[in-house]
Amino acid sequence: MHTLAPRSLALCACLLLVAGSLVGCAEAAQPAASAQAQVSTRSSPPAERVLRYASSDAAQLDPARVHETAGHGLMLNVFEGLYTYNRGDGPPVPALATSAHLAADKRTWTFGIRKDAVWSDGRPITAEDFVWSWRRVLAPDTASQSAQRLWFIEGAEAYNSGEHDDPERVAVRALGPHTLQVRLRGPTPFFLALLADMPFVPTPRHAIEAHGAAWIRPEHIVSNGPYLLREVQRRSHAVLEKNPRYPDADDVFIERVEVAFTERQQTTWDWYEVGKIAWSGENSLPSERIATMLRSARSDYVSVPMLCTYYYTMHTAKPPFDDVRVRRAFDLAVDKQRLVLRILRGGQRVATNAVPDMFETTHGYRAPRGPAFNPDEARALLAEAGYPSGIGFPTLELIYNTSEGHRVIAEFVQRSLLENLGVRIKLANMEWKTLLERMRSGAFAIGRSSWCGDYPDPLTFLEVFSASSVSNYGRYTSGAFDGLLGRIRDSDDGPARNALLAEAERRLIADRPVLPIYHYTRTFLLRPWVLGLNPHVLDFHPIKFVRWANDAELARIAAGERVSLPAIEPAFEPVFAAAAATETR
Amino acid sequence: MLAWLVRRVLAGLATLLAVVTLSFVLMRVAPGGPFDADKPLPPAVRAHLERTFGLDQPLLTQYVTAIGSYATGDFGVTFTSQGERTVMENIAAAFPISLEMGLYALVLALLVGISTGLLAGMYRNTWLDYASMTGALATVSMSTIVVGPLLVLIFGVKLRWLPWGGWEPWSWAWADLKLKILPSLTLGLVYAAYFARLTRAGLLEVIGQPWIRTARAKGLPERVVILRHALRAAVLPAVSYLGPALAGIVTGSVVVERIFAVPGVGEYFVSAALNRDYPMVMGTVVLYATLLIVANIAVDLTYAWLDPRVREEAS
Repeated sequence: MHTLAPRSLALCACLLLVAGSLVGCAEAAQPAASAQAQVSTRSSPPAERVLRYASSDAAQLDPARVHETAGHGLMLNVFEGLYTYNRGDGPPVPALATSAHLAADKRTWTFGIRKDAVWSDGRPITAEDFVWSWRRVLAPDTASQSAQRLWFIEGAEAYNSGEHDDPERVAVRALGPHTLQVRLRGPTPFFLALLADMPFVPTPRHAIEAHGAAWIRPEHIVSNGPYLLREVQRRSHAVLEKNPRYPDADDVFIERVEVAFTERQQTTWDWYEVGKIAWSGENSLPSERIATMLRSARSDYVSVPMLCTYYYTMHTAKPPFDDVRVRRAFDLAVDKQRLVLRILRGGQRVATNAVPDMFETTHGYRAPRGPAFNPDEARALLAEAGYPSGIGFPTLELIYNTSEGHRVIAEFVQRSLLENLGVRIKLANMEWKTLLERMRSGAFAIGRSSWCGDYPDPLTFLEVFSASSVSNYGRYTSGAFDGLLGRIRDSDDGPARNALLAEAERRLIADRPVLPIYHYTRTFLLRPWVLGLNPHVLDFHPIKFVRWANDAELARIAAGERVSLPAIEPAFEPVFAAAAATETR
Repeated sequence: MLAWLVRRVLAGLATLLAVVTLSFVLMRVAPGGPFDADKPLPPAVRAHLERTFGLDQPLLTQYVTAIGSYATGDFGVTFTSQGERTVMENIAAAFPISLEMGLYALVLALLVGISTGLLAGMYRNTWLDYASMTGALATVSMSTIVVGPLLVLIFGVKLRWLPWGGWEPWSWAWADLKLKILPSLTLGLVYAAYFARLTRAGLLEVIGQPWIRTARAKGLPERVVILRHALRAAVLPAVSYLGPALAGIVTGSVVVERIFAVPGVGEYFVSAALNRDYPMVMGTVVLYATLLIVANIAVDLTYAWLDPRVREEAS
């Protein structure tokens, strides 16, 4: 027996492991609340200026094509356009722009460009770079999935859609080496905010022509942002380093950014817990963790209202949902308050309308609310539509993409409809692309959707329901609504535009093409000593605005205070010709 | 023997073609396409993308073109990266990682599994036997989906002994090696349990054979009887399980890669299928299929080497 002792040891180790696993199992069942509280206050910033965060893998990096949050969040630190995102919510701040002037026609913008701006290889950046880059995004050959963002420019949609092949007809011009002029197809009050978006950054023509699709790799890339892309390993990690040629490099605090890729929410959580990352970054956290975290007193989470709405789309061109009374009955029969606040408990905000309620401070826009839960009225409407107590109502199928979170909501809706309307529906879950295909082709009665704003303006939530929108899965058509959209597009910023927005939204509430459930909230974990990653509605955070807390701030943090940095004051204000004219008069 | 080998290789190639064809058809039958996204593309842009990647061609043309280029080892560019990366580049970066992880897992499974199985067999019906076989049963029943997160919880989060996430292929620096322990262990553990049970069963069967009685009658020490005479025959069931185990380790790596954020091929396989990234799917399918076919041939060769009766049949 003694000759085999080492093996016995190995065996014992194995057994211990298994036993340990079982113990771990029991332990995992109870959330360790005390341990969580320690993590939030324990740490202080490291001596090194390295920011580590988690993200899902970035499939594309070319600013002209990048359309996923992961790639976008990474590359907005590597390239910068005329404007960039503010620190948190606040107006976009100038990056390469030195002046912005809107002509009296409210459609022609003229921008001055920094004369000290250079590419990372030392070449100067000129207005021509912008012209070339924007046209490149729109060129059908680029096949950019985010080219639509540029359609606000005159002639852009036609060129991008292949109606003509003359890039010169896209109304963007270099008036001089440092002056750029762009003509829009209509008043676009949110245009400066759009300019911070990736498709609007300049891309280096000389590097792209020299290396083709491979230009974006660390060994070839030429960029202009505060950081350089040093390393990317697909599905593993990316490394950014400060760009010494960036004009404002002295103001950039973080020297190096290390992004760890994972697709798993639990891994993101665990990495934060063990201190591998200081920010949970672009990744979401496990929903059950969010619920406990919101109830606990820990101070290192940030809850951000997002420009996204979760809803069920009803096919308005097919019975029974071609009858507006049925659609309204369905909406009234679901107690969203209870669903969101009692069951989901992830910090979401109950939705009764399409536009999230977050444009009040920025736009002065107060979104009208839809009706509250009212089962009696729902029953009355359904009876009026010819289905008293749900009798004779066809058995419909509610489709959603497979996920625990979506299932909970679907089951709640299913039960609500049965209890309050006597209507029986079937649930069918399917894989994401299958759902998309069915929604797109119209092979559904009611299905799960969501919409996230493309730009910070209420219009982005309403345009989905225009008859010509490819995202209008429910085939909602209303001449009155489309007319309102047209008037909004032609309108300048101000109370008149807000009134039109509210009117359009009231029409949507009355016509009920969708059953809104909640407006998204994103929750991320962030060490309290990382300052400058303020909540932002589009969830974009330039790292050049991030720094560690100083001693005074650390003391306030230790005292339990939440310290945050104020939004950046823009270096200059845009000049509006029309407004200036009124003032002088 | 050579004729047998040639026959097996030819059959393997035929299998490969069948697998590729079936995958191609299944992929195209699956609803939705590579450019279906949360926010649908304008039809003109979509059409242009499809033209760029040849998806506007008739299916048969696409199939013939595809087979032609696969034969030359060209799998094209991935749709999700829109041409920034080729399929072969992704595989070249990811496969060494999966291979290394699979290798560690297999070695671990064999070492732990066979030694545990032998011990259990030798001391059958003692506490050692019961304990190890119960442990093996528990591990087999748990699968990597349970074992992985448990190991993370114990060694990663609670004890903080081992980090995880990322994988530097063929690097044995301690910092890199530490990252490799948990995923390899998780992947190997389940198969160790299988091997243990198979080896124990094999040993118990062999131990009643006349040639073992002869060896004992000669007065050989028990250790020699077991290691020199019984072991070779006792591991036969375990060896025949090598093929399926390899298949399991290769496909099981999908789960392990996700849990431990290991940038191997498995994740590509799953995400490519979900994203309808046709070229990437075909690249990984061909890789997996080739791997399994080669592994099965290798197992048959090993079997022939271990068992004289099989050698007779083959030649």
